[in-house]
Amino acid sequence: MSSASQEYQPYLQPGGFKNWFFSVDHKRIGLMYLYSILIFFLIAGLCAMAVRAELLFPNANHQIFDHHGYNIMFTLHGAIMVFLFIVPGIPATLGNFLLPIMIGAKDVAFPRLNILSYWIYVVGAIAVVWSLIGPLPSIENGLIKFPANWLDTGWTFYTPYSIQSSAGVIPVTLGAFILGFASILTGLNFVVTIHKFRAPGMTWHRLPLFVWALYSASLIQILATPIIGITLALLIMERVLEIGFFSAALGGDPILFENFFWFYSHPVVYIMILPAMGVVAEILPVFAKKPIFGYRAIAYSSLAIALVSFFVWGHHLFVSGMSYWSRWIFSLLTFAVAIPTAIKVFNWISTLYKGSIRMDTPMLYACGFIFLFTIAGLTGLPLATLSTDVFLHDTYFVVAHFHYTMQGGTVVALVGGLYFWWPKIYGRMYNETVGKIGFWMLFLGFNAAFMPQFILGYMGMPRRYADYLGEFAELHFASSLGAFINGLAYVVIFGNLLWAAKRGKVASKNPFNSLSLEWTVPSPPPLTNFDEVPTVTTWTYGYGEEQNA
Amino acid sequence: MSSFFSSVTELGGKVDFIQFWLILLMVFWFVACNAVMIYLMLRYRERSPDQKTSPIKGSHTLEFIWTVVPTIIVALIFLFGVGAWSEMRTMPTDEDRLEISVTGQKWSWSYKYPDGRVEASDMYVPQGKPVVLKMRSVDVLHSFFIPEFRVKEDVVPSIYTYLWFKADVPGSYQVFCTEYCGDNHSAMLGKVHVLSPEDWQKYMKNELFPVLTPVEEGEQLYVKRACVGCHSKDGSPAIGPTFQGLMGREEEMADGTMIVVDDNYLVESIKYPNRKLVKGYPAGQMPSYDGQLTDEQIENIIAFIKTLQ
Repeated sequence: MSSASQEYQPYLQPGGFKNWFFSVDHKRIGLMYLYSILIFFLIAGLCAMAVRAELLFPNANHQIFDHHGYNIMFTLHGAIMVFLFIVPGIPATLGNFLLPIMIGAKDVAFPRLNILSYWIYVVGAIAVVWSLIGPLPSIENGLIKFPANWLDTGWTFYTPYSIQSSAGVIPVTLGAFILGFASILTGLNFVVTIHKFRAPGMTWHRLPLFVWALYSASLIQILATPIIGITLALLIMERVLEIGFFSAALGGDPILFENFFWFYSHPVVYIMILPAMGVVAEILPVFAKKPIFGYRAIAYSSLAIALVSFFVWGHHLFVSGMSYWSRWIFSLLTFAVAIPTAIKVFNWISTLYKGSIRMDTPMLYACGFIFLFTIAGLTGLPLATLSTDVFLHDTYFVVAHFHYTMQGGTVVALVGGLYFWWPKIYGRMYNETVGKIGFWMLFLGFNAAFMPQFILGYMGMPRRYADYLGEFAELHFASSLGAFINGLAYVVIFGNLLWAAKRGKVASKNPFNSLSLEWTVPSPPPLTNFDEVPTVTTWTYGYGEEQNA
Repeated sequence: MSSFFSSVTELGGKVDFIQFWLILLMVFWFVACNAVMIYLMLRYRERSPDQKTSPIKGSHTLEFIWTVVPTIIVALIFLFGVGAWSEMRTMPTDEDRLEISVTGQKWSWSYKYPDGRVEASDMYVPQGKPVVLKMRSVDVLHSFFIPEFRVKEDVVPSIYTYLWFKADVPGSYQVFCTEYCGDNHSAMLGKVHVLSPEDWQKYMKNELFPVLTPVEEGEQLYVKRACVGCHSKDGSPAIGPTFQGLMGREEEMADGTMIVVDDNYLVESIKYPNRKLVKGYPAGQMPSYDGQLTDEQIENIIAFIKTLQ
């Protein structure tokens, strides 16, 4: 870039609320999204700590909440993590920031829709928080008691409980409904941007794999999100007007709600995990100084996963009273997801072959992701298998499997991506030693928290239990201790990043010697990204070629 | 309780066999993938900053192999995993099967036998005979899970769902509710007691347990029908009003009227809990016990409440 050595104004200036909140710049929107979702990550994380504190010992010895209070804690943990943190997750933050620069564009296709998406997110978040407004928590008989209007339905809002519950189901479902539009707009924007705004020479098969992953996730965002919107609207109508969609007492069918709900909520886990896989595919080649192995296989497997993700929701209903042949077919289809997933893992690992590998913090996260994600993926097998799922369904095995995909997968990749691109975002380096300490705390704490939960599941411990039988005590205790370390790790991880943003060593334009476009612009990038639209002549992952030419 | 791999049913043994092979498979692939990854991380660690690397971009042969091999493996797991499940989902039609109607309600289980007897919380079944459960919920979703038998099925308000087992070893086995159903979900427990043929004969002739007085039976129902989950007997506050001193107490209703609690009020409140709510307690918490308890059982519970002064 010709402008690299000239004076330029980084996108971070000027500051001020107005300049940011009304900005249509994709980088600013990405950063606002990032801090917004991190606030909710903190809140939902504290709920998780409360859940694990309650489960340290069986109730007879120790209790912090009554059962109702515990149910509220796990519900808020799940609902906030899913709808306010991990669905926007990587696409709205790193995706917004990087996608246009990676394809050589000055912004997304619809910058004003982009800021609208963020505003809608804020409105949706306010609706969710609204459900908590009212009387404050109190202490009765030494137990923390939460007000009756706090949500206690679980993040899944299963009917008819969610119709009968006296909690503020309507503000939360309304919030999730509104948040859906934010997600749809982001997806729409990305798809159009990728189709129309690629720089000259940036052919589909030169696109960074992160872009392929965002593209696949965006398709799901556009196609699946309307379903949850309609479902939640029906649920609100059911509560207010008592029409009889889902309530058996009114002639409705509660299982219909489960079908509707998972028709969105299964594909949505791929909105969460596909961009994470994309982040890993970006980090690996840079730190191994190797072309990504099997580029097309990885790119197309993202699309394959997105496609198959729409046809597997029934595995959430394996013990719900669904018909014999439905279960049979959904089991078969669920196994189909395993194939593109396995292909990705094999290709990532092969990328390391004959490389020159630096284990800096981002690379630790990328390899940590592969380690944890193999566990997440493999433990999906006994859940897809009909005979064994009947036993494992709704036990802690599912809880552990899900957290290995979502925290071990998505969150680990998000953090790895933040470490990797932080020098680009802020133009400053994080502290390498503290970065590594943070990773190992997270890695060890996370495994200590969730490995015991697989065993609890094999022992038959049901999920969403405020109390448990004595024989589960040791494993629950171990899991809680692990969870506290896991939680503490984030203090170190984000402390390091926040410190770096202000005081870190000034980073060069391309500190990790990456070949992709975002590293050709100054750090932090100027408001318009590129002075002139770049012309792309090579593949993004041409590592190792010049040395061997 | 449900110690791993010690199922007491033949079908459970088949499930465990599949479970066992899947664990081996998972461990194998986990170790294989990560051993290779860690080996490569160490073998190709950076030794100097300008170290040469290979420009290799992929391999069609490898892609082909690692597409086909996982496809074959998951297809085999699927087929392998259908067998025991298929048996599990095919209800037995044997002449000597026992059919029990299971009712789930917040937060207890009750069981109705073909001869009309009703049990709560504890289910009694004969050893070695197929037992078919026909299940229904009267309020929200529940799920009936007997870990040792490796069976589970949701209990739904709109349709009947079915489950069956044949237990070969006498003993008492845990029942969990595994679909979240509100405040006392984790207390919605039960037991399946598998009786030897002799005990089963005694049970059918009502000789297995001593005859109880009305108050004793009322106290038992208080626990088994989960009144205990919401109504304390020592005055401590809970989800519902305490039973201590309830009989004869003057209570303010949600609409402001005052009522002196008597037999009629208690019968009405057990059958139709939302008609006259004590002030400060939300509607819809307590399920109706109309048709769930016999008139005699309700009388016995009231007799028990009378003793709590």
